Amino acid sequence: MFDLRHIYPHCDEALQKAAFHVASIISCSSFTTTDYNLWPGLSKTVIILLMFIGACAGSTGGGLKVSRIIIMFKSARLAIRKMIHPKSVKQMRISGKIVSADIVRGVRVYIGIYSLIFALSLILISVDNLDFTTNFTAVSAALNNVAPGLGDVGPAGNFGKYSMFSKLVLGADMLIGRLEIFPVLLLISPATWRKAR
Amino acid sequence: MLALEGAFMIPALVIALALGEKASAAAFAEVIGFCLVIGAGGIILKADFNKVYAKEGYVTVALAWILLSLVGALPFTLSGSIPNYIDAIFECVSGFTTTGASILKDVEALPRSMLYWRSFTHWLGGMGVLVFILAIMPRNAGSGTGFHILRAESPGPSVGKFVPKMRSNARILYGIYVALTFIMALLLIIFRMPVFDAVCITFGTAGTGGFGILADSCASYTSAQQIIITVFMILFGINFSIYFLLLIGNIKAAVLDEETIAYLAIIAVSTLIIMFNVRDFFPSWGEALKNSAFQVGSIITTSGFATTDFNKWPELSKTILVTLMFIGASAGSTGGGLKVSRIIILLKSSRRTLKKMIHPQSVKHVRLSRKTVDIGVVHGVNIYIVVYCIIYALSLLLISIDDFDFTTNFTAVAATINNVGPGLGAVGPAGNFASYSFLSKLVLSADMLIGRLEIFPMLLLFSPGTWKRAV
Repeated sequence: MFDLRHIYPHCDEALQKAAFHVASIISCSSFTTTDYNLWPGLSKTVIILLMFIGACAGSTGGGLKVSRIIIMFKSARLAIRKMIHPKSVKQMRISGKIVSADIVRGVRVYIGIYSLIFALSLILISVDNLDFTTNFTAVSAALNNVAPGLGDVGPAGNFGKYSMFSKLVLGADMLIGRLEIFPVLLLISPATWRKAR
Repeated sequence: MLALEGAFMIPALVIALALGEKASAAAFAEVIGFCLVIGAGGIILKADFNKVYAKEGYVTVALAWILLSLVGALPFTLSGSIPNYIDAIFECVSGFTTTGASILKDVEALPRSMLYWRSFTHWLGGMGVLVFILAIMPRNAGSGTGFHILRAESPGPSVGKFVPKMRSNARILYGIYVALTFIMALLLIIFRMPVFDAVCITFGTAGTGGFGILADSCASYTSAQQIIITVFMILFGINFSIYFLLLIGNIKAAVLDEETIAYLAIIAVSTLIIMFNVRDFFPSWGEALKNSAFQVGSIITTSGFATTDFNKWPELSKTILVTLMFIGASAGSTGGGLKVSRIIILLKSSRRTLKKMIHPQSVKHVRLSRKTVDIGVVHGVNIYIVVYCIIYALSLLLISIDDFDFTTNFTAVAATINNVGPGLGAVGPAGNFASYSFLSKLVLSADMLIGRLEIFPMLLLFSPGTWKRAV
């Protein structure tokens, strides 16, 4: 909001626009009241990060989910503590409840795979030769189920410029993001079918 | 330590005197004196600091690197080559961490002794990692991932056990490093590069740094010289324990090393794709191959030399280069990035997770070069990547205050945290980091150190828990 102050006539209008878009992006609804492509760099970066964070687990929103991010931060802190006190036994808690080690591990693997798929899609759609910002945010918009990105795929643009191939890749990303990666990966993995015989 | 740095500056002083650059000579002399005084004081005071556990090891490394950079930046400022101290810090950190990102608009305007010092910081930084991580780190380095990976991979030099052995181990790595450097410089001189250029470029390549001494990096050297640089960049990106295996005649183990195979395969595939992609930019296939191989080698080993402005290349090539920045070189080499072995472990552990979903009761291990990777290492890798993402996002946020476009910001962070050097957009090979604000320069300098020291030492340094127990 403070970053946007100069673009809007009043402070309250800036607040209103800022709140609307933050809510719209973090919950992955992607309604827009203004073309945030024209906003300053800081606001745009915040918006991109919000895309990744996404809504709460168990809600209708997409993205990585806030609970995963919290687990991420806590496990990083835990790892550091473990370095200082190598023998310590610590458990992670969210809302006072212990999170099982399996879940923590699951989150880490999830983020690892997520980055891999992200990089792969980015390379695939970059064949179309659009600029880096557009490609990057197109993938993040698709994978996090947000919809508009920045650059050519910003709120005022659309995905029409991409080739058929890229559209298929982005389509797959949307499915992968919505189903939380693993179902789709299992579907393509040969081992699944081997056992089904 | 500081005394050592002072000693390392002496050659630069000699060059300055020889070339009659009075201002820089005075600056070097002052800093050398300063280093020697502090260093001597440190030796006297050091007596009661004997117990080095994992924590102390990490903290020592992190502090040493910060100190080295702060002092190393002094000559630049004192001599007036880089008037602003923060700029000098950025330049020097970028040297020591072998990043090669520059804030200088006109490199050729610097006095030669300064150019020499800049390149020499690369060489020190490249060697420093081997020495610090392998020699100073205690045996039980907690979950120090890179260290563990390196140890898990190298059956030849058994890292650890007791001090004398560790030291000899570090000495072997030194030896390989110096020998490779020497061969490269010699080859360059044979192919008619001026001696001064050859030495500086070799330092830059050996440390996989990327400070050139010409404004257009390596573009004005002949093809033969560029090919030599390419080959040696790739060689310096291989795990040094492989060379040790070759030296002691264990060729089979060296050839079968999974990380090296993957590393070379990635280079070959990326080079091919980029070659076809940039064909139209060059007069012949040979030219396209040479330039793409140079650029791939330069980016994956995180050196950051450039023979051409790849900012103008098509998007596919650029995206591949950005991805290569993240992959980086092999563990145990002088390169940066996430390291090939981490990527392999990440891929394998993902596959294992998938298998576990199909067969929930199965017990499977991740294997690397036919050896089982300890489950702790696998977790370490996963955590590393998570922390890496967090730091990445945070830095991106901080530098985006400067209102540059997203591509510039994104690749600026990528280039610094992976110790590459040039990014895309305004920080591309033809541009530099001068336009960033001081805050951003400090953030990026911190990123370089974090990337160089593999994140955890720096985080430990700033974690309150570390100091609480030290009381």
